[in-house]
Amino acid sequence: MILFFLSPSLLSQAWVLHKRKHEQYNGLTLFTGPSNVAVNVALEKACQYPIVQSKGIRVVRMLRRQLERVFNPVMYALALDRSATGKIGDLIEAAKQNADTKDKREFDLYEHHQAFFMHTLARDPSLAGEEAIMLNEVEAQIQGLYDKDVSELEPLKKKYKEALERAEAAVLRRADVLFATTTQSTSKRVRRIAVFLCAEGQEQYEQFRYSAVIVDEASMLTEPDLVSTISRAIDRVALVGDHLQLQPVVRSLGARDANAGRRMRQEPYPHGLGRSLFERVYKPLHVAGSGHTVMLQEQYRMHDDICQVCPGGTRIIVAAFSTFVCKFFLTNFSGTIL
Amino acid sequence: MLQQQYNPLTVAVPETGETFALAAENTQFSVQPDQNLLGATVRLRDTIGLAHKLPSVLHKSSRHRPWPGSDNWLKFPLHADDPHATSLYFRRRDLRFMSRTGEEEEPDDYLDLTEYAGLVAVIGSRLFDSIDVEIENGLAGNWCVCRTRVRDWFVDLRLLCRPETVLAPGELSPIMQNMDATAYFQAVSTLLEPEAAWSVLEINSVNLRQQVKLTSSGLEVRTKRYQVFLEKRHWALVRLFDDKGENVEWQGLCRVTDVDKNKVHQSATLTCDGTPAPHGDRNRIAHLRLLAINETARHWFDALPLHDLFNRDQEHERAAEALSRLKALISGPEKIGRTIATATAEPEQWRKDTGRILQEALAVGDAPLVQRNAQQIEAVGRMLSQPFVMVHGPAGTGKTDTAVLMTLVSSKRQSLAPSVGGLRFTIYSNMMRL
Repeated sequence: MILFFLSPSLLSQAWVLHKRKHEQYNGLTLFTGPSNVAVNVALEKACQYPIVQSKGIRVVRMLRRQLERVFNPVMYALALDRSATGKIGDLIEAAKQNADTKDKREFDLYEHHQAFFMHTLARDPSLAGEEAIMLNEVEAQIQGLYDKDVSELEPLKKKYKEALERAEAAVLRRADVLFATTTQSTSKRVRRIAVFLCAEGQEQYEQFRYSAVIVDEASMLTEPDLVSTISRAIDRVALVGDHLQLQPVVRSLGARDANAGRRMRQEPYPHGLGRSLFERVYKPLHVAGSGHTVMLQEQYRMHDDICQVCPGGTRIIVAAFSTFVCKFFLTNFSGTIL
Repeated sequence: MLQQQYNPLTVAVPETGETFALAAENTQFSVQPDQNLLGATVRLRDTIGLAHKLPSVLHKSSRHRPWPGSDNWLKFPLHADDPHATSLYFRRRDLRFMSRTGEEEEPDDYLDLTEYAGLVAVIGSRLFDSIDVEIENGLAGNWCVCRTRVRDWFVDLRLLCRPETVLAPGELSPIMQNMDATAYFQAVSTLLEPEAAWSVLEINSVNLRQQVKLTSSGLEVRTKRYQVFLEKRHWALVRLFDDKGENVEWQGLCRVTDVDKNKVHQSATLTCDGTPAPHGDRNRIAHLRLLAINETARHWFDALPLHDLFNRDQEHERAAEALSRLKALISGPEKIGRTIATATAEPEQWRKDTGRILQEALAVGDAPLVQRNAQQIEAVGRMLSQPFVMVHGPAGTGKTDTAVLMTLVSSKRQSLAPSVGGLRFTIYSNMMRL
């Protein structure tokens, strides 16, 4: 909510430089977007590169924990409620039956990306090394308990969690690119993993940093979302989006408009969360010719006939949407706002 | 000097002995910052008299009077082609730079701001407690926008002219009470953010082939060509002119009781409230002007005497309270009023490195690189050579493709020295503009 975002702490920057110097470490690049769909589309495209297929660039796709549980019965078991009773195996089966339909749908979507999933890689000794072996051991131990009562899981939970996070840290240490939504890439989970990332004699750093952050559909992110993500970047930030197409989805009208009770429907939510950072920052920079903006103009997807009708592509249709919008673009976007 | 025939009211400036007339039409602003950014000329196409009050008020209230070189400061009329135009010239040193936290900033920041965000000036006046004119130098320097804001309804004032010129509300009342309420109403609606709180429509019914049908309780507006902006619950200040559009036949405040947004024709029924309905031929074509439309116009109208106008507004009170709380939250140790995105790299650096960019892209196996267009390559190149880049394009122009390429290239870049200065952004939050 409050403005800013500032240079990363010197500590973490020094850490990355140190890593670079000694290990040719490029840092972790983050590709992020507002939704899983956006990230998946990009992952799909990235997978077509031979260098990604041959693991020349190691790509990791991180899902939210709830989804990872769909793939891994052990994680299901550990997420079980303390009050649950019965055999572990039975409960897991029941939980699988009742798994959220949305989760199931996403499961189907994601299946062919399996090789890039965080939870797959964390269990792969060829990538995560010792940590993966540790994790697998703990998991095997838990799987051995399937006929036992749930209460026997309790003492193992902490151990499993640590093993899991260590393994994930090992993956991230060796990965080049992380694909995750903004929510995931700034989550507590990543922060916890970061503690293990620099465990071996390195100075700890409090917040996970990415050497570069590329945000797709940045115009669909609300301001806090985007700021919290790009503030974790160390030396590169690229925002990709089209504010004339998509705006943040904010359900609360008050938060979207921030109009303090006034009605101003004519303007597209000038002050609230409904107006993305991308939208505010793009135009002034673009008009100023500051060299921070690039506008893509060549159309690849649209049918030729449609292109002929509107030579500028969809943008023009949207911009012509209403006179008020046009007026707004002409007046307000010119540069106060930054 | 100024046209006396419009209005008998005059405003005198004691210091100079000048007398200015008030007129009864809209006031329009156009603002031109001067080339050296030493100041700004505010040009008012003045037909209501506000323009003349503005400088006179400033004159009176300034502790530093007489203003040094006040002849430069205030110019009447500058434009021979337009006798109603008035120009005020504000020098840069007359303007104080204020941060959002209310601290004064060094004047050097002024130029930083103009570089990116345009020139912003706020002129204090006691006419509306303070009229704030934002001068936004649209970055290219060709045109600018001026917006007016009333008191602390909007708090994003970045540049204030002599805070001491903003007077207490009561001091204004003598002038305002003399004003025609309608003119005032109109002035407020014009000066106040027209696109936000107020919609000011001047619908010329003859030109727009709009039919105004007089009814016993009010009038009905029908139109074929024009979108009816009225909504139910709106209040509208309406003025009816005769056929030639010269003399006011009737004016009053109406409530919008019915709106029919048919595809073929649209109509809205306005019911008079408190004022007698217009009379005359029904079904005639009249010359209608909707002066101001607002949901809360009723409050505003009720709130006369005018100097009390804003204090009575419940919404305003709530907004002000919320804002003060927000401000208290925000004014932490961080200095907030600073600028802007700074980048360490030269903007055109990437051009020199095109070859290397292509090499990097090929290194990640970008087979379709040959098909990349110039802008896409530029985007990747800028990403490599400078810390911050934004890519924008309509649907289907390959944004995601570019983003993926950027991701892979940045993860693989070997030869690139890290930007040691790192990223440093300061961005005004949208939410600050509440």
